[in-house]
Amino acid sequence: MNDVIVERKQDVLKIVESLDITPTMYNNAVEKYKTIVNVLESKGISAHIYPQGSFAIGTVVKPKIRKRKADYDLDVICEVNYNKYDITPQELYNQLKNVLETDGRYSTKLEYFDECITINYSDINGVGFSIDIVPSVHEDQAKIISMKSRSDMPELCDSSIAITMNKALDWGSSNPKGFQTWFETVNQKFLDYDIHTNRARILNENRAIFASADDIPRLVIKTPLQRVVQLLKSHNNEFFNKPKIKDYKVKSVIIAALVTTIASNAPYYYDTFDLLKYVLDELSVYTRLNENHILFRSTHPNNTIIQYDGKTWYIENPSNPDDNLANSWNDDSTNATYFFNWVNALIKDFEFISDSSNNSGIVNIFGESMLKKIDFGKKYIPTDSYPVSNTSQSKPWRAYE
Amino acid sequence: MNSKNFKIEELLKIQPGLAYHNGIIEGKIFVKLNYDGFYVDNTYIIKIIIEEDSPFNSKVYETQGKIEKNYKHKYVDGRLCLSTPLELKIAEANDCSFVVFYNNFIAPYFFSYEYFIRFGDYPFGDREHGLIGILASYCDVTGIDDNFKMFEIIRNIHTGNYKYRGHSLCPCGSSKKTRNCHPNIICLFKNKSIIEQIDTDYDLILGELNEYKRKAK
Repeated sequence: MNDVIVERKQDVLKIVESLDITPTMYNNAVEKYKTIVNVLESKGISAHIYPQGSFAIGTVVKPKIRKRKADYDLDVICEVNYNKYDITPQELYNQLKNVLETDGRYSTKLEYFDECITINYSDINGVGFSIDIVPSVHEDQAKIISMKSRSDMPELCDSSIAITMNKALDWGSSNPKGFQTWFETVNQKFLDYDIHTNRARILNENRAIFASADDIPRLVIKTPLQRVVQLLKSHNNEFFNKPKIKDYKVKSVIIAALVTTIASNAPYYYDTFDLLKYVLDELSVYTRLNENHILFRSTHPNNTIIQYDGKTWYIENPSNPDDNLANSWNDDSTNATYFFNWVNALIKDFEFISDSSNNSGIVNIFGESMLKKIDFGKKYIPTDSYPVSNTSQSKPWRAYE
Repeated sequence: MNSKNFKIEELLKIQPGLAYHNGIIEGKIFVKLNYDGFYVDNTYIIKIIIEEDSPFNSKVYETQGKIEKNYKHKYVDGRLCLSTPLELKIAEANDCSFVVFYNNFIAPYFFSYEYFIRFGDYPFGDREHGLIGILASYCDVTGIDDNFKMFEIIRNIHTGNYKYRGHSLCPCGSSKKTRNCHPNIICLFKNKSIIEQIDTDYDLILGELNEYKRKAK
């Protein structure tokens, strides 16, 4: 491997590390949501709060644009110990709302959304974060039994929950713990490989935070799987950072589910860039599904991670048989179109890592502002590229023939 | 052709992969442009068949097949649809050189193409085919925002009913002087070749309208 490629790989890892949540912030966030549990308990509400989404699986990426007031937006589930049929979603939402509203620590920091209550914390060292609390109760047993009967991984269904939805008028089905368990199962082989080296490195870099290697939370150690999810999410943030297409941004859960499913077949000794290539090669196969689904089915019968029958798109959520991760593609097919546009761009831009003649990939992956922020502007923003001037913004036109 | 008049050498200097012979400029171009945070760094093989009178009448082809076959801004014979004739004429009136033709129309064409393939949208917009696109380019140049009104103005210029003078009333019907109302209309009177283009475009628009009427019957 030539020196340029080695350096590029190191730099890409440095960038993605800089987008990650720091161990200090991680500990801080955990402390914050544990405090909420105590507040609820002091009001007689027994609840269990745990992270979901990228916070739970260790794939947080700092967003391009500060969402509301926060740099990081962490999602947690507040699973209250009620029987689902003893409380309505609205009662549950309002109970949590009332407790937080009457507590001086939170009353001025709250915002209310259809499916969650958000606490916007003050910035710490210039970094702001918010916690989105999703009220929930454990799913009822009959539904869990029914889900198990339809699931390929029935053991995951036990942790299913009912969350408040549609302005807390309905219960929705979710299983973030199941998703996390599934992710961790796939992640384990990468974690086991080279774990001692990783722990020693992190301890060395964070002596003030961790007393020993054993104190390092598992989520602070990043595996190739987590890094690949973060790389794809970063590219997704940059690609869809345009007003006209921002609504078609690929959901994080789709990225996490696809990468994890693909990575489940990858060798354990792969590093981040081996795995990235493996994932992109597999995703590139699916661009043909978008072009001709009938031909795809006959030529690629075993490629079923993304399915399409000409009418319905389907991406399995391994933790919830009732959830089709591609539902939004069925509501608006433009989502599918943009997903494949994004995959094509991913493949092209990440050629930067293997092709030393590709000089523009990295700026299209992370964006100019990100590169400048971490002092990679001079190194990686092409200096021989000219901005298209106002006078040369010509519009193509064709006469009728 | 007196190539010096049109600064061919300057184009060959900024794009050294191109060569001129027998009325044709051909070779590799390096498109290194950025807009809106998106960077294009790609090469294309092009062929420019030069017309005697002006670089802006040249026919441009991409000969490597990198532009997708079904891309809508390409003619059946592979010629690239760079821009409306009016916009080409206006640029030509400012600086009749191959460098301007390349920088303002050829390079941005390839940038637009890559942006479109990536984001499904044109960075600077595109024109509808045929008369609608032509009228839109007149509207953009003049600031008139009504196709019917624009067509009336084109007709009045074509028939000689509207000739711009300092005190002329604006043809949009506002009763103000043109220079105080839609001063960009003056652009259309910049030189003889633009007026000739208006005549050509008028005939084209009328021809297309008659074709629609015939089909409607």
